[in-house]
Amino acid sequence: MLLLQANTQDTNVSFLLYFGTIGMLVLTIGLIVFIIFHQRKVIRYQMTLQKMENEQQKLLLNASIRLQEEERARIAADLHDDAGPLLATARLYLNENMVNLDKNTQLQSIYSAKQIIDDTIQLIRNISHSLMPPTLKNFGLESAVNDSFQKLSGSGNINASSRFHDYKERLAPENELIVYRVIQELVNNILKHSNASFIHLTQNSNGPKFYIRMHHDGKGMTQADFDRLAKSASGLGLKNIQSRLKVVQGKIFFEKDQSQTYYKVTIELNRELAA
Amino acid sequence: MSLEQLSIYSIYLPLLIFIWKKPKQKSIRVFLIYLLYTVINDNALRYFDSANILLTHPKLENILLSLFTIIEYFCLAFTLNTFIRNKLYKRLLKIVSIFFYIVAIINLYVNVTSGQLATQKFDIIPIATSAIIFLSFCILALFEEMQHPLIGFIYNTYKFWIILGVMIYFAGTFFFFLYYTKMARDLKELFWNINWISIILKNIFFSIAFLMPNEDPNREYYQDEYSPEN
Repeated sequence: MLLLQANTQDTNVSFLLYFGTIGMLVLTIGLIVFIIFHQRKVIRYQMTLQKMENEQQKLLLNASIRLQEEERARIAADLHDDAGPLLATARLYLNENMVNLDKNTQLQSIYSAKQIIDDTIQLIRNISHSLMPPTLKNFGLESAVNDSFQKLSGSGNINASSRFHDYKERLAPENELIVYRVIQELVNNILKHSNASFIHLTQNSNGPKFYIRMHHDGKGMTQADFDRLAKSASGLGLKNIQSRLKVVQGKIFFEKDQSQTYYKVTIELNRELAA
Repeated sequence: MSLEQLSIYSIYLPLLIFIWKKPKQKSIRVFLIYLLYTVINDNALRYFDSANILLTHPKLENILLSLFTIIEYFCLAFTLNTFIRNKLYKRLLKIVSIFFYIVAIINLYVNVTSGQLATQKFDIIPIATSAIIFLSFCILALFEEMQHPLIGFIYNTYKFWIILGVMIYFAGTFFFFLYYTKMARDLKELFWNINWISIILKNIFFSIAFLMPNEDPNREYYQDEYSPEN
């Protein structure tokens, strides 16, 4: 009887040992194999994401280069087509033969040349202002936006208004220019595509967050439209907005107002990063 | 060459690689103590056995085995502690280590004072405790490594191979040491072989760990970059 009990105990122990040890080893190896395969999958996914991100960066870079070239072409065209002929005309008035003319004609020529040079100065000033608005440089984003919206409203085509609620501390000048350009681009888009009758811009702050919101009653965009267009080969202006905001680590959201009547665009910046 | 001999000689493999590669990581340097102590302990036990000292001093084997368990625990726990990033897990490891040392010291005291021999009485409680602790914390460390964004392929890191070695060793010998005193002689023979295989595998994995580069080669690839969602 004792021998039988001892044998049964031995069988139980050996059974436990075999299955226990095999089970532990299988579990350990299984766990490690699972971890390796899972990690490979995660890394492959991360690599795909990285690739997509790189492609997006490439698109943004191309858009920004194209935009720069377009801007240069525009300035070149302005200088060549407007300033060039004006200066050539002024030169004609002030040629060597002028000394042989009578005094009155000389005076007339000088007056005309002066007028043309004044026009040229004004033209160059306009080009320079379009590159860096003096109001923005001297008085900040609030004044520049208000000024620009007043001019827009003055044209009579659209009712534009802006209100800055909390802009006691100015952003860094380069960041103000970026935000201003984004607003300009958005306004341009609204004017070109939305057929809106009004644009209203408001500025707010919430802790470190800085918000600019634009409402309009035209045909606007949603975030899905923006994401789709920003990723496509077209939509240069939107890519430009995206790349400008990336510099200040800002965000942009396009949505339809809760009332479903207006479209709303929100630019979000972090004051600590942009100041 | 028997499995036992192979396992005895296999300890020299990580030691030689360690001396050749001279790993710079602090955590691996503690391993040198572990490897050296394993060699010294094994050789001392064999010498005492061949010189019949164990017959005249039967408690010596008990003491040496108990001391080995404590020192092995210290080295592996120290290494695991450097691998783990989460402060809560680190604290937890320290708490369970205190529990282990209490158990191990009581066991050592009992070994010194009791009349039982090592063959009759095995350090079941400290060994089982350390096995459970190491298996649990190895899984936690692997889980953390998996989640860390800077890590590339996990098997390109020395940590992975050390953890793998520790896990295989303790998983393979856990039940063997747990039931050692209840096992029949022929079953013991068979399971000693599993123990030798576990030791050989452990030493191979440790050797691979020492062969790994000092810095993770994939580290640069996953450097955080700004994305609009950030």
